[in-house]
Amino acid sequence: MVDFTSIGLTGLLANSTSLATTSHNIVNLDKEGYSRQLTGLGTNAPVKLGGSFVGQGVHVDSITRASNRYVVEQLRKDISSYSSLEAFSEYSVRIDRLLGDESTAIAPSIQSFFDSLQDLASDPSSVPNRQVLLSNGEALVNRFNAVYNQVYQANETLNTELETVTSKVTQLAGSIASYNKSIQSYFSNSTGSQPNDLMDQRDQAVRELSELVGIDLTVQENGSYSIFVGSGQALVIDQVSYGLETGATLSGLSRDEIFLTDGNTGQNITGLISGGRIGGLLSVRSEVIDPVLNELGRIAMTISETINDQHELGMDLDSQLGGLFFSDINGAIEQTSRAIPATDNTGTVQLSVTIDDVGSLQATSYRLKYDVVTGTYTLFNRDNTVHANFADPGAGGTFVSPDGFTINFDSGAPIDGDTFEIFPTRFGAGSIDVEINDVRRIAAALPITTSIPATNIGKGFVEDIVVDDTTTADFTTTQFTLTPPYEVQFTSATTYDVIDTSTSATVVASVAFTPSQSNGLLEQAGLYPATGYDVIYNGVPSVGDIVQIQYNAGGVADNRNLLRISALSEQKTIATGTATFQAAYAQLVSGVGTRTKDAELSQEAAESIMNQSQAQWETISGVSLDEEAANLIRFQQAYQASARVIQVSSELFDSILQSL
Amino acid sequence: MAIRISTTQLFNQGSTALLNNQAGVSQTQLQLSKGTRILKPSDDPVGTALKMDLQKQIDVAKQFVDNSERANTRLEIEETSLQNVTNILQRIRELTLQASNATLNATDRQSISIEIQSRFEELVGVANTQLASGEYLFAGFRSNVKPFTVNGTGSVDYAGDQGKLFINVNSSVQVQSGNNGHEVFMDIKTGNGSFVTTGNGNNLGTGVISAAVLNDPTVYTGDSYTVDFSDDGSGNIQYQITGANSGPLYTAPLPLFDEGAAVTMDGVSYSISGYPAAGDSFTIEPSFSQDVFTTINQITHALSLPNSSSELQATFLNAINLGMQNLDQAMNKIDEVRSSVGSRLNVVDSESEINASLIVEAESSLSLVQDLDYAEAITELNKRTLALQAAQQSFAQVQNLSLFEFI
Repeated sequence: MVDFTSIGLTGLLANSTSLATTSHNIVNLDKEGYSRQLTGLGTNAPVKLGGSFVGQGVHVDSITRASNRYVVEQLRKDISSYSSLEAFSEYSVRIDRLLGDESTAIAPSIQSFFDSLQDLASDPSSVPNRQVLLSNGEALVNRFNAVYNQVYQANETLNTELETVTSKVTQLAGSIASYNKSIQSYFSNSTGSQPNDLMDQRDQAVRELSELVGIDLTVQENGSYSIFVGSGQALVIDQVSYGLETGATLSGLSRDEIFLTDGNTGQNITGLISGGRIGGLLSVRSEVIDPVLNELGRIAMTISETINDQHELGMDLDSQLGGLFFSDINGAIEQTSRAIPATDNTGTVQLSVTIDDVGSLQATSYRLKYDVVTGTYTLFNRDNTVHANFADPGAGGTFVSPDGFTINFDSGAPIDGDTFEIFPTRFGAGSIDVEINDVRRIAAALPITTSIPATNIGKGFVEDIVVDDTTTADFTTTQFTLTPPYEVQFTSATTYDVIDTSTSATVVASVAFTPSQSNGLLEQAGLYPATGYDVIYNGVPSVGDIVQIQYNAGGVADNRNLLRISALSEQKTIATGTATFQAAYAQLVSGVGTRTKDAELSQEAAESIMNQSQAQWETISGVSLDEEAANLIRFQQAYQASARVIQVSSELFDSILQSL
Repeated sequence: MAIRISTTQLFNQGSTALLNNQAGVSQTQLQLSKGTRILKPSDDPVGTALKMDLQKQIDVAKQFVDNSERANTRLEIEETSLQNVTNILQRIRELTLQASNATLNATDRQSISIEIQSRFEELVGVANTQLASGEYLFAGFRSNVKPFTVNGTGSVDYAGDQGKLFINVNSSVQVQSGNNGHEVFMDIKTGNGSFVTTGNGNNLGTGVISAAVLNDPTVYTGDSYTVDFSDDGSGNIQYQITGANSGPLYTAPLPLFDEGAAVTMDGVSYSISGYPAAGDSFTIEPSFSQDVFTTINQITHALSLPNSSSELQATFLNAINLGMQNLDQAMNKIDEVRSSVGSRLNVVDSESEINASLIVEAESSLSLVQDLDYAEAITELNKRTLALQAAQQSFAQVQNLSLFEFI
């Protein structure tokens, strides 16, 4: 007789396992990364009874998780790119807001500064107007400093975050290695059934890892995961894991790089990493933060240098020659801060960088590397192309770059491989300052004036005054006067003599004059440019006409230098004559805006792709409570039916006993 | 086969929809509260660049309007001062005309001279006009120094310089916002603007020289001339003209004097009325610059000359004529400066108008770029609020659905 009690029993056992799996699914509903599990049932081997095979009930074949490796992989990749773009956007939006916000934006301060220059030009001796100009100058540099500090702060936060994230990567790599170990042991010991929950947990750890950094994953024969970062650098192999660390490669510059480490030696993989939060952080740093600092610096330096240059050609309210308005961009500290040695340099070279021409500056940085074999330095651009190659000029030597700066090799000797990072403009917006502190020092006037005596009978007139160097002996020998003091005397309508009025001696005689066109009186006499100034005379002079050239002592209402300074706001002084101050700033803002918008749009796209993958994953692996409820009822009924089988079997047995 | 929807997915879809709609509502609300559609540059990078450019244009134009106002104020003060100068010179001219009348005696002329003297002082006062800030209007760049002072000899010294203040009233237009004292009061051509003719103060005859006229500039050499009268030995008056550089013009026999006839030499012509005596001389020289104060002093000096005889009257008239010529030159000069001030005021006004309309234009463009279309934004807000409500309701409904509710 067939023992259907035992058949019923197999049903009880199998269905209670199914119920257990369903219950497991239900309670793990909210566990992240949990894949629903399925109980696979098998029919027991039948026994042959009188030529027929009689079924022997059911058994649990396996409990598997519903999981598709390719869907999991796809989701992981999508998470990686989403989280990279998310990190990018977070920082980029912050800078975008900072540059665009009315209260922090630089454009209005530049405008106010030039407005107050014009106000002062309308009334150059007004002390209140001078005070306003000075205050607006200070407001302008404060704004530059504040924006620089905010961007710099974003850079600091980013550094700190890199530290946190890399240590989390190390931790996750460790967990994955230990999951590998546990899973391997099940694989080798058992009949091939899988430790579902452990594998889920490992997948979840991998997913969290890919949120932090882009990875490649291969599955080994023994079920282990091998994980690689960058361009194939192993992070986890079998049961061994490595870690990521941050560290500075440039001494004194807060700009951490990423190292792959086995605990002893580290390999710099900063340039190789892509994807994940780290990838996003690194790219927002090189694509937004660095360029913004460099460009802001370039604008600040160009403003201070061009205004200083013109201001120094002027004359202040006390008739003294103009000094610096903004602080010198080539101060000693500024010069040394622009060349930063690598932390692993072994040579003793000390560098400094002088800015020669702000108009030629590029808003970028350079890398300088020494090669002992050729005895040359190579200066690389940001994109690793060669900017210049030159022989070691030795201590005291210099290298002049066409990009408007000079590298000074102040002292020391290099050793092979020594590297420096050259930042011509990065710190410019942070170090800009107002040098002038007394309103009377504002050089509104030009130091040269001319007068035409009443005895002139010709129709000549002074068309313009050129002043381009006030450090010449003409200006510096004696304060408040020109040395020597020149006077031009026309000996005919087409010739003149230049007289030194202190000795009445003729300095240059019979210089040719062309009537009715611009004549540089001192230039034609061969005295300018050595004088540093010239007088442009036009019209038709007569014999005996005199042009007296004097130091403009007492010229308090002169605004000619202010007009020249304020003309700078309309001149294309930045980026080799392609942009005005304001335009360069607008380009910076709209550039960051465009980059941010791109990132946001890409982030949205990546999010929807990630959501699709997530939905696909959920379709396969997610728990549906309705389905589980239905299963619960189904397995409950099957269980109850199996119990009923045993009951029937028992009743049958009883009826046999009773019939005896 | 039906698609499996996991419970988590159902929940996530619902909550994502809620969050997205909430973000949308909040963005629209922020736009409405700030009245602009560009909350940060990345909302519209191109619009932001345009906005910054327009904003700059507006600011610059506003500054030019401000500058125009300042230039306007200065020029109007100058115009008022120059009006005063004209009035004073007009009065002096009237007085001088009155004094040249031969019937007036020394006392009459004395009293006229006194009035002219007080006008002179008034003129110095006007030339030292100060702005509200205490700056001197006619001092050039040395605006903190009193430009005109009467020295011990009664003439006036100018302590200012020849600097000219320009103000930008547009990016390419600079307007001279003032004239220095040299331009207005000092640099005035004498005579008729081309030549000065004077009679020697010791002349004994009754000859009065006219103004000299430049007939042919191509022949004129720029020389000064002296006309000397002498007796030809037969009681006729003859004359010789001697150029300072070119020497005597005529060789003997010298031409005889012809009353009132025009004499032309080297492209210059003049005439002498009355009868010069032998030994009398006249000079004709190119105009040079002389200040208005010296001119007035010349007139008061002339008024002090005796005119009791016809010979003295001629000397007096020669002096008065020269004074009047110079005074007319001064008045012409003031008129010239005034008309230039007037035309500069016109430039300032028209530039100011150009800038004002540019501001209006740029502001309307700016408004197009950055301002929110309220109707659109409110519709958007309604739409998004509605979507949010729908998402909330469907979320609540769907979340209630569970088979567990029924078993």
